[in-house]
Amino acid sequence: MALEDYRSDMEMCCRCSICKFVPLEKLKEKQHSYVCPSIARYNYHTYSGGGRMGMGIAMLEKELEYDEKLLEVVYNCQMCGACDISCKYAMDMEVLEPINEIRIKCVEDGHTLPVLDSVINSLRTQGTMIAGSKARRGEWAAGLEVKDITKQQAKVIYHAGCRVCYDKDMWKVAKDAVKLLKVAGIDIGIAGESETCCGGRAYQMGYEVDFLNQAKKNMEMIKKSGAEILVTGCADCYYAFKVLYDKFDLKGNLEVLHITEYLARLIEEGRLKPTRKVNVKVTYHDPCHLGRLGEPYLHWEGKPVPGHIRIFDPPKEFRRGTYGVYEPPRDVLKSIPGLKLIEMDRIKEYAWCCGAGGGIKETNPEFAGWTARERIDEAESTGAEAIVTACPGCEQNFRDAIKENGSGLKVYDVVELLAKAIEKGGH
Amino acid sequence: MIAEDKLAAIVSAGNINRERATLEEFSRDMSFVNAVKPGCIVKPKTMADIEAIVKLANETLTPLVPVSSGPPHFRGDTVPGIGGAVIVDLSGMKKIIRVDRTNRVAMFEPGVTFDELIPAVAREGLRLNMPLLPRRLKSVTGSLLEREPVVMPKYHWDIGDPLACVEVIFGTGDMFRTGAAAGPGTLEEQWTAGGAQKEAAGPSAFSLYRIIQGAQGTMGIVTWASARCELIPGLEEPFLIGSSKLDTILEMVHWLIRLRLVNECFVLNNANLAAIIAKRWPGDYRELKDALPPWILFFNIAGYEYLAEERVSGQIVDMTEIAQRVGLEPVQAIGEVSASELLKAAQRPSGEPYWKLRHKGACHDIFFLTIYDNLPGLVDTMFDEAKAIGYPTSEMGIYLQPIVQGTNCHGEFNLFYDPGNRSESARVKELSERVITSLMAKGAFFSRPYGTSTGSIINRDAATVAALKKVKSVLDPSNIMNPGKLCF
Repeated sequence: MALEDYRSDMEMCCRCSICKFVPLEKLKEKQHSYVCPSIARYNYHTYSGGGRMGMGIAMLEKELEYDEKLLEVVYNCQMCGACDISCKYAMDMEVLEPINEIRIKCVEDGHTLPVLDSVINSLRTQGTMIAGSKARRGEWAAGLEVKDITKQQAKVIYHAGCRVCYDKDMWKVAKDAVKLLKVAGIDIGIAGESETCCGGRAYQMGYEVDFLNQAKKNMEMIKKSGAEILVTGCADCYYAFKVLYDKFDLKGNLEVLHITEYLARLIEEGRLKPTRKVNVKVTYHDPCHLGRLGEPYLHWEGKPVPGHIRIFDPPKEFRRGTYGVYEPPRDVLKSIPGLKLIEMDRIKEYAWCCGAGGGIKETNPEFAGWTARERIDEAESTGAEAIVTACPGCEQNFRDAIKENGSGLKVYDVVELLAKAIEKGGH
Repeated sequence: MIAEDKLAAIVSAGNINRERATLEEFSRDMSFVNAVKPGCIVKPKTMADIEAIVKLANETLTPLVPVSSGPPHFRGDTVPGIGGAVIVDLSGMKKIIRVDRTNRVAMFEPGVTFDELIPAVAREGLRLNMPLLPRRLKSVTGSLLEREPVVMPKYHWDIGDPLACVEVIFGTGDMFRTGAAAGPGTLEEQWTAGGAQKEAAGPSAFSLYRIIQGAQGTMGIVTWASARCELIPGLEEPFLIGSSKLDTILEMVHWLIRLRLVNECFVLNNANLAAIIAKRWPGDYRELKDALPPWILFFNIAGYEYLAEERVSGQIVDMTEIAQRVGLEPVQAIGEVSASELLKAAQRPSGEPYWKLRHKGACHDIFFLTIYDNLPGLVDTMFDEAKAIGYPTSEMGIYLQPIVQGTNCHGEFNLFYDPGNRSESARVKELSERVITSLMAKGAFFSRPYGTSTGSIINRDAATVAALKKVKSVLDPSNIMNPGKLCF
């Protein structure tokens, strides 16, 4: 697909601006009505989903020249998909796909940001998006006694992801995840030093070729290992393996599960029994790539039927966020004795982004921090003591924002809290 | 007190009843209001009879309690508030005055029940927008005047629908016709001129039907009513959707009504659906209830005279797409319950015994209006209060009826209980009184306050009470019409 393939989607935009907000029918509180961080921060239509549609058409028509301002708009977006899902509440059109295609076109035309080029250079040379990292990729798993899938067969492969591997603060979450799976008796392995980036963020930054290279490498290794299930604790990786790999017909029969999906399943089957009390009042933040963007990819091949009304033959089903992963993390939290879960105003399909996605953490850390602060304020307004999420990217960004601005709110991963509730031996 | 001979001069002696057993029957109902014995029961036959009775009551300052439905009564509005009252029993006024196919409207007297009116309008290819399985002896006029919610929100344009016009004898003894029926000319002259007494508003900007509806007989006595009717569909495809998530069910309801895809559309919990469908008690009921999901959405897609099949199949495609979008699966049956069986049930009054009485012999309803967003919170509040008082939440019936094009929703909790069990009755009474304040705090609007909770609801709005009293002083200056009800 190319930007041109989404011309009719972009032309569908009627500037209703619903892409900026939580749909009226779903709105709970005026204070938390914005759903798109980009328009909420920069307050100019072009920064919104609808504005980007107009921009895409102008680029196709060659009415816009590449300049600093154009690139500023293009890259000041977390690619969180909130505009896409809000729009699709009442409309049948793609929004996030053309926004992604605009970035791909920018890369193809050689117009990118230097900081992104350096990130991609790291991907090309070191197999990770974390540029300049010194730590060894597999160091996090030291002492875990877990199978190395490059040498041994395992049914399940645990993919830790770049953010976990190169951030010592995140190691504990990955270790807890592996330990919990082992307690439940899962035949699990990791790729250790051989694990490389999923490539998902490269795709969302517009580097399609690099993403495809990465995806092919990963799938080759996974196929060779014989693993049937890939489990990851990172929402970005989950989206890449489950959705993007499928979009490009690379996933095959691999079952992709987020760690919270697997843990919820194991709790339901009685293979994990949270019995220890964890007395804490928490609110849950839906990571964009696990929630609204985490629903399966829908393969469709067809064409629009000529006429005034935009319909397709065969009828096209749209991904509207309905089948994202919303309940499993909540189910895990609810299974923990003593834990009280309070919901924020913007949740599930209409969750506010943590701010770290789409390359923003690298290109515009101020904007990433601003977006995280908005979410922290929302979490604090619930009266919760902690914000819990299920993605290292979100956790890291929340922690950075709290460190910078101060807040009594604690940040947890769902896995960490479950680990506290499981006694040794699994019950 | 009206002398019997004077009443007999109006309705004849045979239509006056002072038998002890009958007076006892009218002195109480299934609600928790105090029992008060009436002086007598009188059965008028015509508008002139009613006019004369009201005039006589004004002369003697005798309270009148209009009653149009047969027993059992549930809401305390037909139990006299003052001793010595005369029950004006309208159940004998059974004339169906007119059914107008062209204008889709029917006119009938207050004693006409659903069982009687349904076949009469069906002969003209029409049907009523019904409340959910009304009891067999429920008066259609009574139901309309009480603003009972109807099951087809698509044809519900105003909170007063489907009531059109009424003829009423006010407490002053004056006859008045509301809406289009107000004139000019007699009814016959209006018919000759093509009039149909369908427009509820009027005359001019004076829409008196809004005062009469919900007044519980405190303003006057209605002698006939007309109601909007709908066409009988040529083809119907009903569906059920079960889920444990109420908010997802409500999302589906929102879309179905917003896109005007469905006729009948309502939500029941498992206890209520089982109570409606179960044939053998208590075995069937338990089995059905346990097998059903917590929430069940019912809706019906219909086609009419032209291109019925094309319309229905097209709308099913649209509906299926919405269901996929929302994450639900429409089916034609859930376990033993088929959608077509429920459709048939919903298009008739309840069989005997009344469905709300089958489980335990008695039922107390708590109902209000609200918006969809508030409903899950209101259900939680109700459950919390029920648990605190020891009423089993799994036994509670819940009925959610979107109304007025889905702009808001009637919420109803049905508290089934054994009237012979004193502690159970006391628990239900306490719960029904206690929970009102909590529900109001969470966004429940009690637009139809009845019985013992009326005071705590209506007294929250002193300005409205003052305005209502002013209106009452004009229409019923001697306060003879059902005194003791609402704020009068």
